[in-house]
Amino acid sequence: MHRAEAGKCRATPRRRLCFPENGSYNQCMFQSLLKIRQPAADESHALHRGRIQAQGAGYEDSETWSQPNPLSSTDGIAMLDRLVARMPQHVYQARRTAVQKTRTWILRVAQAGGADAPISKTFLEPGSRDERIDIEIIAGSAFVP
Amino acid sequence: MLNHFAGDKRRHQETYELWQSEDGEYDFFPQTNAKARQLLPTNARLLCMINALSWEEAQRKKYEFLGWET
Repeated sequence: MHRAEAGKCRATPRRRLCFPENGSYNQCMFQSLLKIRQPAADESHALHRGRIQAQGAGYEDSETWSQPNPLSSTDGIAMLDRLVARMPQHVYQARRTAVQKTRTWILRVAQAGGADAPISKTFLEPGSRDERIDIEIIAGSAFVP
Repeated sequence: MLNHFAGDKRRHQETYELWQSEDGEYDFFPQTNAKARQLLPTNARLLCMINALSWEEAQRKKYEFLGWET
């Protein structure tokens, strides 16, 4: 259809024409090739995603990252600091050791060159059942030097 | 090219490892994540292995195993 009528092809919804499961792959070969070379907007950004969470005993707060470049250890520490700054005093006291261990771990990971997804690291406060700091690297890398 | 274009929607089950350290740290990652394994504390011991089709499912199963809120 569109081989002879390129203008008409551009006006036709791509989704219906271009996917082979719709039986129209041959008709839209040219458009398909073009589309393959153009990553979607959400693919070209946010290749590195993750979060730092304070959880347990009814408390939950988090800092997240979603960016085109790996999160640096400096930014990771800053995120942890922001998370701590929002904690009420009693919440912080209940996670004080976990927070310190989280900070130490981020620096240790940076010395090792960073960590790759997926990985989840939990720092449980000693003597607590579930008061903790969680780090989750969901995509890409994080805590690079 | 057909496969690339259509996208491979099949998901494969993967094995994830949950490690626990003496001081209350937990490490959780797929068996294939060699870098994560290098970061394990020396006193870590393997707590359990979880099979899941995705990271999200694996995390959910880990939370259930540990009895934590999700």
